[in-house]
Amino acid sequence: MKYIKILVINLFIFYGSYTYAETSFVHTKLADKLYKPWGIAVIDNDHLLITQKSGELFKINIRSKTKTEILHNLIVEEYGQGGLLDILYYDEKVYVSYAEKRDDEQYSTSVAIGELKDNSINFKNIFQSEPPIKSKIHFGSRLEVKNDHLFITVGERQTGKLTQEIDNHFGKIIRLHLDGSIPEDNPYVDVEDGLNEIYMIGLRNPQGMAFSSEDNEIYITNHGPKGGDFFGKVIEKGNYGWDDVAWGGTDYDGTIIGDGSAWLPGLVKPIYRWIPSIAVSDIFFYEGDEFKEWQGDVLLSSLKVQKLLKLDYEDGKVKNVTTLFERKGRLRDVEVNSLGEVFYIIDDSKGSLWQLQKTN
Amino acid sequence: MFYLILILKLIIFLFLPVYLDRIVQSNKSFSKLYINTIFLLVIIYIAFLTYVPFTIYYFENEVNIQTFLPLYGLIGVIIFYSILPICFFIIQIRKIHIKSIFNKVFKIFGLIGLILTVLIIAGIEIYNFRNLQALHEICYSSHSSSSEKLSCCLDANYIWKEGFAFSKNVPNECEKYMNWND
Repeated sequence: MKYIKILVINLFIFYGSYTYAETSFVHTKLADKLYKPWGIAVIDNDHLLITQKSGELFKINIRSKTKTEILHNLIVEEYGQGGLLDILYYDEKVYVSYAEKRDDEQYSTSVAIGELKDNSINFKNIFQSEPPIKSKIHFGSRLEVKNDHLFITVGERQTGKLTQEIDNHFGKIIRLHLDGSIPEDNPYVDVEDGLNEIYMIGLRNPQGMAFSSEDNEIYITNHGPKGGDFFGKVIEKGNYGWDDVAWGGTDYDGTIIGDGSAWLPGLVKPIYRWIPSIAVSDIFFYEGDEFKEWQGDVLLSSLKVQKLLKLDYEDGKVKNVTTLFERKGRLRDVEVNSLGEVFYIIDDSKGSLWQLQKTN
Repeated sequence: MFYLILILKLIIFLFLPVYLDRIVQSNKSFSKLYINTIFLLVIIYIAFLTYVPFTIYYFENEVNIQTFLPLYGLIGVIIFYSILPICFFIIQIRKIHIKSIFNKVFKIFGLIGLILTVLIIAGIEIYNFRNLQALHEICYSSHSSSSEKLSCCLDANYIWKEGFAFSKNVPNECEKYMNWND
């Protein structure tokens, strides 16, 4: 009996501290029973699209809280960190990134395009990372559009030094036209042995990407190893340096990566780093009326520390980092619709979609 | 100093079962509770060596050398480092008289288990120590402008050429060096 009492008291203490962190916001659950949701896309102010890592795609009506499965033709299954990953809705087209099984257990980060008609999509591949390999991790896979160009992040798939070579897509930012064709002004188009889709090199596992309308630039987040997660800008022909540098981190066994430098001359410097790592996930530059005081700030979701952070980003620097809330679960993606309403997903086998609102 | 402590630790680990066996044999009235307590501590130590790094992996996503083992290797290690020393202790302390060859087989396997454990513990600790030494060299070469800064760096959990950081709580005197994001 005594132990039951202690347990009950502890539960109350835990619950008390949990709700205390939530006092500024109301979290409204819009959908549950989602299996490892990975990406959110805004269709309009009433509807979202959500991917599940296991391959399913759902349309969510955020007003009626109803969930409709979207049928599609992609053959996708969960493969380590891979599966059906990010989703983007742009100009009435749906773009998805996924881990595509190619030949003989070799997988690539691939991107497909389709049109949503009668709750189904017939996808067509527009990008396959090369070469496909047998690695279950670091697919990258975020999608973003800037000036009618599609940007894709591709992870290094444990290939390390190959991220510095331009004859493969490991650890790269890819830039394509919206139909998948290659822009002629891409930086490696005229370079011998260079893959024409490459826009930037030297990344490890970039799992966040967003467009800022303030400076018309694309920004990313990238997972460092043990330490060294960062937020930074996408620079044409830039190189973030993996794995000559680890942005302040070390390998998981404690060995120094490179010569122990966080940065070397000629490399692009991250704007903000987290050491220890927080497992950075997606980002969004906030615009809207729901949280007027957040205009231009960056919302950043994190997996390991389970926080939604707000970065006060001004003049190329992060002036302040605020934890908006924490301990709700592993936050995989955060998106905002044109009304400024904020949505996030919890990546779990019993995952869920939530809306963040102000308390009255 | 590190190697001296390591050798002492390994000697204690290796000879503890033999020592306990001698105690039991020479003094039949010796407290079984005492023996069992030491036995329990050894088992906890073994559990620590096997389980804790994986616990850290799951909860912190910060891993150690042990995680390079594939899953079946991990299961093998856990069984090996739990079952075999336990067999050895049971045979030695409780003096279960299993006649014939089995007694010897258990003892031999127990001893092999202990010797391999000692070698692996030594390997892991030396590997980790050498990694740390390489990081500490960065402290001496890049963060030794004052004795306070050097001391902070040597205590830090993350060290690189341009800075250092702590896993959780930053000591007050080291806070002024935590401006590597500015």
